[in-house]
Amino acid sequence: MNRNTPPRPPQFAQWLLRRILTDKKWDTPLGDFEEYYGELARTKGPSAATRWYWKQVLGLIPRRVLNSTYWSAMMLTNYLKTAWRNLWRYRIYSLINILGLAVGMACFILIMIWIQEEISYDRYHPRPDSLYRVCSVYHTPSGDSRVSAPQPAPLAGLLKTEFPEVVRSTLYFTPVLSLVSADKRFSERFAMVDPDFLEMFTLPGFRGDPDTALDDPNSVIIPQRIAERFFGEENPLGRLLFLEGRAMVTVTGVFRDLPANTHHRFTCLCPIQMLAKFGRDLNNWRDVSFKVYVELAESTSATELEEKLKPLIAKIAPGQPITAQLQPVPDIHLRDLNGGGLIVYIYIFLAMGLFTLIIAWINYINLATARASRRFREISMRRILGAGRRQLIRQFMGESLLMACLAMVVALLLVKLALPFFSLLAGKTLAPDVSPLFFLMIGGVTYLTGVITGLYPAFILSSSKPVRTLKGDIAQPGGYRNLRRALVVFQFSLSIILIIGSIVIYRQLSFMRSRNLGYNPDSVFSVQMNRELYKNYSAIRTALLRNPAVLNVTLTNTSLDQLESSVSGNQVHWEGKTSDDQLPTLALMGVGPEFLETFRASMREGRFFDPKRPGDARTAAILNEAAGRAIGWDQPVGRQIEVAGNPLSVIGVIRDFNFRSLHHDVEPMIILLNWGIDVIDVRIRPENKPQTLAAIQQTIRSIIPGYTLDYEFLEDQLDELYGAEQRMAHFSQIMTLLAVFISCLGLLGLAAFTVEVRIKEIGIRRVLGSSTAGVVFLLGRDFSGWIIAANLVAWPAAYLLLSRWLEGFAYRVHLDIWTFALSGLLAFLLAMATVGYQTIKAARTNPVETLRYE
Amino acid sequence: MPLLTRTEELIMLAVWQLGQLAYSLPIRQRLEEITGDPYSLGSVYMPLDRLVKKGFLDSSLSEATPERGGRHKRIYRLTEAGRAELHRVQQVQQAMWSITLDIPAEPESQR
Repeated sequence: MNRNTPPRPPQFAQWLLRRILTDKKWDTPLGDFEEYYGELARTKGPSAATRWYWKQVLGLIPRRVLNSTYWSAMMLTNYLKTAWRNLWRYRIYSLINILGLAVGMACFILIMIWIQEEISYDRYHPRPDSLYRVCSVYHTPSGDSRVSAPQPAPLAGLLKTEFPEVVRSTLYFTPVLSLVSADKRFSERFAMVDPDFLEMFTLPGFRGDPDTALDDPNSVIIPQRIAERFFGEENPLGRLLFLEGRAMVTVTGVFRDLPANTHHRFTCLCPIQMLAKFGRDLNNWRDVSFKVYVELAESTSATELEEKLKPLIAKIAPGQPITAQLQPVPDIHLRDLNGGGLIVYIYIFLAMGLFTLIIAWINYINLATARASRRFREISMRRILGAGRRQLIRQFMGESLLMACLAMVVALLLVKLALPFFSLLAGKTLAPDVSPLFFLMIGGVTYLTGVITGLYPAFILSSSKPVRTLKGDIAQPGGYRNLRRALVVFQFSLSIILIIGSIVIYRQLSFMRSRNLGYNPDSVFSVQMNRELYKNYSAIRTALLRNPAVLNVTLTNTSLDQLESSVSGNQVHWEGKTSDDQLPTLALMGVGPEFLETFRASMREGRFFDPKRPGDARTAAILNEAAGRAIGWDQPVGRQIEVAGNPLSVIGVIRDFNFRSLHHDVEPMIILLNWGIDVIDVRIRPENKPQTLAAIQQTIRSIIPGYTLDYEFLEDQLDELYGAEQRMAHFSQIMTLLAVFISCLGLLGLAAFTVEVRIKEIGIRRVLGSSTAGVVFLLGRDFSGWIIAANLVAWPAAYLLLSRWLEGFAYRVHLDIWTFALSGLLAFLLAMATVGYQTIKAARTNPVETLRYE
Repeated sequence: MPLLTRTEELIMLAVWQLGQLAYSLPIRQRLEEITGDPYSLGSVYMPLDRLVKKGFLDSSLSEATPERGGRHKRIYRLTEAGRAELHRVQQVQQAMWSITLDIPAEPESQR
């Protein structure tokens, strides 16, 4: 062995030794060991030295392990014992703490479950991130833009052939069609699509050949549920059905129902070619009524493709200020095309969940610091017995982690209890997606809660001076009290923001409900037209009107809430139109002559279509006020207008009525007589609806035997349109209640504590002649000051947040000072009620009780 | 004041003799050489610590050497109290021995 490099002990043993003897003080002996090893190696040989070294190391391990576990177990039991004693001695505080934390956590978890559900929409397809819906953006001269989804039919094929980036594409058109067998008929919402659809979108549990299922125009894909209704237990594949009583179709595929988390709303599928068989021209660039979905190739950016689409648009719609926008399919559920949508609520509720959690945290921190003085003796004792600061911090962090864990257990129970109710509220079945991510979130929230709530109290508690506290001086430095004040103010600001928020949300939504739509949707139902109905319409109408419960019957091209037919602005011409006059896409609606009375809409000027003038159907048009404004006519009546090549004269202007969500302004619209009629609309008396409906079915059956009435009430449809928002409003109210409840819980604890600390002072004041009211005032003054400060913080913040939210509505309530004042007052009263009981009780206590032992 | 134990006495003497080299390993070696008994490292540490606590020795860290894996040596030195104590022990011993008749080196075969 080379003398210059002394023999070294085995690496692993060295490493082990260093792990065992971590303290600096072992440095010198470790050096001794190493040197002695060298000496042994020289005198007795390296193997003997190694043996010796190992003996030393292994000899150390058991002692070390025993030592540390013994002491940490000792300390742990002691910590647990202390924690438990403190929990138990101050039962009320502990209850407040754990309950507050648990409710806060439960709210947060529920919200996360809901968000998890909402963002899972359309993520189950093979390549969800490559799927887009093609939309067009119309840029108005004033710099605004309006996005709309309907496209002309030839676009889908063209995109696929012209652009290598587009791997697949499909048209998408969703009429209600009736599916008929020898003895049964059902009206179902169909999706008429191209064969690519089956490869782009997943149909759960699909049976059949996805490559060919839609190749034959006479094929249909139906869900299991409907297959069972037609064919029972028999295999539906290859069976024949009739579509609309016109076409014979073969069942080429069966699937389970669509999952809830997709924006698609069809039940059956058939090839779009079927529509051509029904007489619709799929090569017509002017028929802008279809949706187009595309699947992009790997590594294709949607924005680049949008750029490349510009020349194409210039060819299709020359001179029009239109660009393309590719909307990601998973976004369709979350974001409305023109801003807003569910995503806004997701942010709102995420904020609410966080607010609630923070409020619960603040409770814990406040109560823990307030009660710190109770524990100064214990801490001083520990310090004197040799506990280091780090040990104390670890102890208190451990305690708050323990509390967080307890609270989480309670919270999970609460979530379990609340989930059915919450599902009802959300209008969908919610279940936590029990994935690793979910557990990670649970663990994360628990840990974060433990750390955040523990950190500050731990540092305060561990920094106390043992000598002072043991001498009996347990007053706390003022700084902590200030921080507590700040935290209470912050907490109540959050609560007040939530109160203001839920009031404004409620007011906005009921405003939208109560706002005049421009027509009356109550008790109007629509029936999808089919061939028999069409043939016998006038007989049916006459028969129906004989029933006094039927107020009116008319026709439209779609039901009012689903109006999507439109004509692009460059198809509309009038005398004197210049190339500078650009029109956005106009809604196009076909109606029967009784439309006005049936829907109770009203004219602003001119006349409505007249059944006695049959010429109206070909030559007359009615504009809504928005259309008049868009064209720039002050006096539209009597003017000539050319729509998609048809010369028409404007005979009247109808008052704007709102056929889309009140998030948006009323769009310009052209109304034609008996154009594209596909729906019968019936207004009935609001009383005894079921009876009336049964009578109506009877009447139609007397003309069309075996007819089943399949109706949809407009008000229900509108409720659905606004229902989501209604539910959000309810939900936000409940969240607010809970948040305020937690805040009050914290205030209750704090008030109880304040009273407890000042009980002797109160006694002395009483002895010296202070009145009960005076004492209550004294104690209440602090708290009311905090609440007022909280209001000052909350109002501007709430104003900023809410005015941003309201920007998403075309019609909105004003943010008035009263809402703010009311919310502030509400918070104030709640806080006073919380504090009041404690203070009055304290003020009324006989001073003898409190001062006896002094 | 109780007297030093024999091991303590030997260690203190070793420390005195070794001077600048008085750290754990040479001390152990000196004990082994003189007594002929095996001394483990541990059997040197404990009395050394005790003596430091009693104030008879104090210690300082010296330079690190490669055969120690770059760690310091702890060099021990007699304190004033230690020096005095050794003297006292010596005196006591000499006093005791001086009034003792010769102890035969060989067992008395016959009396």
